[in-house]
Amino acid sequence: MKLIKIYTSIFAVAATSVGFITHAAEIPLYPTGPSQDSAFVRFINGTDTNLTLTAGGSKAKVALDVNQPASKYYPVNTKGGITGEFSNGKMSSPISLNVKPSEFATIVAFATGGNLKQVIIKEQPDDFNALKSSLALYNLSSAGCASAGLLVIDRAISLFEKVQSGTLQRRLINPINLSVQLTCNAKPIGKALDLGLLQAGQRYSIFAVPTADSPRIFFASDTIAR
Amino acid sequence: MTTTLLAGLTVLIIGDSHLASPNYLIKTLHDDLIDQGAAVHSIGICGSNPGDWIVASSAGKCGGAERLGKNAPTLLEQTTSTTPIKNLIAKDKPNLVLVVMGDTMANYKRSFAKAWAWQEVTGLTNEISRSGTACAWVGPAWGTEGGKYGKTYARAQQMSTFLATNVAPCTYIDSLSMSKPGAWATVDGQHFTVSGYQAWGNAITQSIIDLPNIKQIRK
Repeated sequence: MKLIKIYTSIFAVAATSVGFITHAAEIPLYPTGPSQDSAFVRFINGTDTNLTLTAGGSKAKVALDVNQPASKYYPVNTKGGITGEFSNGKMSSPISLNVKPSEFATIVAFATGGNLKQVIIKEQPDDFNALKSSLALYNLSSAGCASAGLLVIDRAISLFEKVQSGTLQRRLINPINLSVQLTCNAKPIGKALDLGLLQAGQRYSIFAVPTADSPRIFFASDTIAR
Repeated sequence: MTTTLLAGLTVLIIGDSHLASPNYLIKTLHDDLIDQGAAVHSIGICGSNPGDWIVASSAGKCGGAERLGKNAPTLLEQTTSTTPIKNLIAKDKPNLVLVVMGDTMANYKRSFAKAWAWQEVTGLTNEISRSGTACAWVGPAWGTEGGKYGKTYARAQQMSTFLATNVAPCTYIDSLSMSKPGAWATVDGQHFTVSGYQAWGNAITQSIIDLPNIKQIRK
C-alpha cells in the first residue's frame, strides 16, 4: 500500500462524510468546504547515510536516500497521531506526533553521537501564491550554526538572516535562477548551492544540517503527494 | 447579438451548481459564448470542488447538468460523477478550459480552509497546465449575505482574493468586479435569479473576449 493511502485514508473519510439535506429548491443543500483544513507531514533524511521511513501500522516503507533526502508532503488525518520509524539498518528512531489542521509538519532525522534522533518543525503557511516561488530556510544545524542566513551568489543580497537553530523562515521570491550560500553568524560556510530555475507557484525548502565538520545545506521541493 | 468575436474558439466549461440547473450559467454563459461564435461544451456537477475534476467523483451528490453546443441541457442523476479533466480535454480538444468554482470552497459557515483550498486549486490547475490548454477561472460573485449556505461578502472577497493569486497559469476572472454586493438577486444567498445569471453570463463572456490569450488565439 502506498504511504499516501495510509496517511490520507481517515482524512478522506472526514472529507466525504459531511451530511446532505435535500431541499425543495432546484439545487439541494450541499456543503461548502471541508469540516476542517488540510494538514501534511513530510520526512527528511538529515544524515549522511541512506535511511528508510516505515509508516506505523501498515509498515509501508519509503526510501530517504542521501541523494534524495526529502519525502513528499503526505496529507494526514489530524484526529489521530502519526507514527512510524526512521532506520538506517543499524539504528532506528521512533516517530510520534500530532498535526493540527493547516499545519505542514517536517520531521528531520539526524545522527548524533552514535544515535539516530529527530527534530519536528511545523509551519502554518499563509503565503500561497501561484505567481511567485516560496522559499524556506530550515536551520537544523544545532550548535554548529546558532544563527543561519542565506546569501544570493553574485548579487550581494541576503535572502534570510538570523534564522535561529530549530526554526525556519519562509518568504516569497520571484521565480528566477538562483544560487545561494549558507552563512552562520554572518560568515559564509561551505559551498554554494545551485537551486536552478525556480518555478512560479512552487514551494521549496533549504535545510541546514550538521555534519562532523561544518553545517551543510540541501534543497527540496515541497511537493504534495496526490 | 450574434458576432464572430470568438469564432474558432472551442470552450470547455466545468463547474459547480452555478452550471447545474437549466436557467443557470449553463444557459446564459453557454448561449452568450455561442452567440459570439464559440463552440461550447458545459458540465456542471453540483457541490464539486476542483479536486473532484482530477479523478471521477460524485462530489456533492446533488445532481448536475451537461450541454453540448446548441442542444438543450441534459439534467444528470443526483449521484452523477465528474469526468476527469484530463479525459475531457483529450476528447474535446478545447482552446480554452473555463473553470467556474469558488462558492463550494469558501466554507461560508466555518473558518476558511486555506491549505485545503490551495491543495484543491493547484491540483486542478496543474492538471490543466500539463495538457498545454489555455484556461481561465471564474471566481465567486457577491450573491447576497445569509441564506442557507451562510454566504458573507467578506468570505466571498477572501475566496476571490485567494483565487486571484493562486489559479495561475489560468487567468483569473473576478466576478466581484462585475456588480455591486447584492445587486444580483438570489434565491438562497448563493444561486441567482434568472436575471442574475443573465448578467453574470454576459459579464463573463465579455471578460473572455478581452482575455489576452484569447485575443492571441483569434489572431
